[in-house]
Amino acid sequence: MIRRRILMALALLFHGSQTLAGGGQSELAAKAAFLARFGAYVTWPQSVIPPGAPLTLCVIGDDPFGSVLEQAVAGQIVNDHPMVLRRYPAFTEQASCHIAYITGSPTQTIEETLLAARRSAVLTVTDAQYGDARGIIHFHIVSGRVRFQIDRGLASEARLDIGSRLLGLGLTAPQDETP
Amino acid sequence: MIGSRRTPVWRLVARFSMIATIALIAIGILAISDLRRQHVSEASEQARVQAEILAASVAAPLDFDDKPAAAEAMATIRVNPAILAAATYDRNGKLFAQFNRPGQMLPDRLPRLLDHLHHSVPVMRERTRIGTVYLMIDDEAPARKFVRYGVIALFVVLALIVVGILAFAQTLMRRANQDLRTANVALRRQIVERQRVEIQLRQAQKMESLGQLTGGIAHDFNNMLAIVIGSLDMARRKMQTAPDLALRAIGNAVEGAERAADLTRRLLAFSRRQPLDPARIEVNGLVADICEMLGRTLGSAIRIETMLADGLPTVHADRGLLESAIVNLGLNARDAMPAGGTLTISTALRDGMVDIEIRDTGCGMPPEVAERAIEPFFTTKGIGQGTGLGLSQVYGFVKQSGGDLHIESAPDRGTRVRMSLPASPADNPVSVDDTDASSAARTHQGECVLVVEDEQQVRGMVVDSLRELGYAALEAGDGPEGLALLDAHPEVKLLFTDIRMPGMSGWELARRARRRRPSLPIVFTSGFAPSESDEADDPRRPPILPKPFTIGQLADTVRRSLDRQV
Repeated sequence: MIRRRILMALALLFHGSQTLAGGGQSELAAKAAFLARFGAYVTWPQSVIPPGAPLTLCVIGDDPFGSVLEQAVAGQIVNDHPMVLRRYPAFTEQASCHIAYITGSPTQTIEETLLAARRSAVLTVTDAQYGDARGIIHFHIVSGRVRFQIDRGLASEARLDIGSRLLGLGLTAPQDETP
Repeated sequence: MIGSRRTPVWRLVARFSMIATIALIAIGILAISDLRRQHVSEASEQARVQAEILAASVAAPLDFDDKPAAAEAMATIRVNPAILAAATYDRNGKLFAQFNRPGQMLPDRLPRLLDHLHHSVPVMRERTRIGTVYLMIDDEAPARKFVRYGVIALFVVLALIVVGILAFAQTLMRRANQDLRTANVALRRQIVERQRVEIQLRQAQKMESLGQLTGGIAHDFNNMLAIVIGSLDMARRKMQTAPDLALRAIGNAVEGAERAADLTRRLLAFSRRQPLDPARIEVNGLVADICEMLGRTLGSAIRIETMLADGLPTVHADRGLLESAIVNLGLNARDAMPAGGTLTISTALRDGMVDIEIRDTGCGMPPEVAERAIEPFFTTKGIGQGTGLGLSQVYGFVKQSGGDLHIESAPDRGTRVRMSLPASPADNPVSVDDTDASSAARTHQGECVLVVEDEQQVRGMVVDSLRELGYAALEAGDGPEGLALLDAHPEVKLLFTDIRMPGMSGWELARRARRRRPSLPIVFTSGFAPSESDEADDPRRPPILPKPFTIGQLADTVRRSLDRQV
């Protein structure tokens, strides 16, 4: 981790490369923004989210965002559902998450979380940064930009209807590559 | 037509067509501008729809910061040629993705809209504006542009064609006018030429007639001169040896000369220039007298009938010539009836004119002969049978007397010749024809007669004759000389003057003489017409002694004039 930060600083010094320069900060911000926006492109079964009920975004595991995500979610209303943010160390049925960003924790690994959420109508989001385990949406970095892939099979298993426009974006980056 | 200054119809039409053409072009331009307005509103509506579609499709890429996806979405507008460029700007107005055609540049920041050719539509997620789609549409699609300018071009070409046709037509018209003018000039020239030729032809015909006339006269005159000259020659030879024979030859010469005189009289009758001695004539009496004479002349094969109308007015004409005319017509009738027939002479009063009609039952004349019947020397009779002057003489006499001659004839249907003579103005059915030849016997009293005559031989003959008759005679060759003698010799009792003389005419001389001596008796003589006959109907008019005349006629006229004065 430390070594990587040093490398980034060096790159900043010598190359002024924009992609790496804003890397940490902008990647986080981008991921936070994406997480706040997915809700607009996904339709949950009505039983899961009655009209007017809040749309819950959960961070399961360690929270890398700090206040960034809070800011992104603040005031967001998706299809009349005010968006709220929760943090849990592990996924439980009671958590009643609609979108779960899974980073894994000593309490529950990513794989475990995915398994636990498998039968729930939860839009699981994993990150290549934390391992290869994949949820419905999987973040990764392409050319210094945050991209994601969507697993339609998992989505339908979770009874989620993902809008074609989001699907179109999710299919644009087939390669799984990390710098 | 050539001189007309009015605007021709075709020029008006050309002007109207020009105006119509301009109007057509104006209407075309209006229609095109309307089309353009329609196009612009259609194009901007289309662009708006396109922008909205684009806005929907770039919402997710914008949301998730996927520029390639946004660019790909924008690239779909490539198929719409009306859109020159498109761009997506993020919520901060920063250029996010773009599509542009070569030569089109888009600003990095969201531009302010300039006009209808630029469009922007917000990109929304939920109710949040996450960016803007910006479109720049082309003024016009190339195909539509082509159509529009094609229409304009078509209008212009059509207008030019119309103008061209008009100009061509105008040129043709002008040329046609020019041709017409040329043809007109040529036609006029031809007309003039034709008139000239006609005049020449008429002249030639006149010369031919004149030739016929002079030939006829010369022939007849030569015959008579042959008699006169031959007889006089004979008389000169036999004067000493055989006076009886000489006397008879002189008699023959006189007869021949009289026949020549008769010929010239008849010619003058035709030319209507014979000296007339008109008097009131009771026509029925005259016809009755002539019938007696004609009966003997025409022979027993010809029956003569008369149909005389009662209560006829007298006519004013020369008795001798009227008689001669009737005899002439009678002789013609006889010649038309070689096997005999009936000659009818009738009189009638019609429209104030007295008609004398001579009708025969003879062979008649075909129309072409009847037409030429009155031409002098035109005859159907054999050589030696007629002079061809009979009818022309009758015609001349009737015309000169103020009347008319009408001939009606057809082959085998006989001939009718009708003379219409004017009735006397103050009618008196009694003939005032009082020929008194007794004065001829009266002798002279030695009075002095002034003879004015330009023809020296005639003058000598007259002077000799007057002296023979016992008068004293003075002679002058022209008017002024005559007047001088008249002034110098108050003993002159009578002026005997020719009418036609070079310089002062007989009429003028008489007027001047009368001014000096108002009661001076005057006797005119002439071989020709009295052309200044304003005194023709004046009973106090001096008598005219027509040439040629005998000594007896001269004596009679002079004596009567002197006696009337006394």
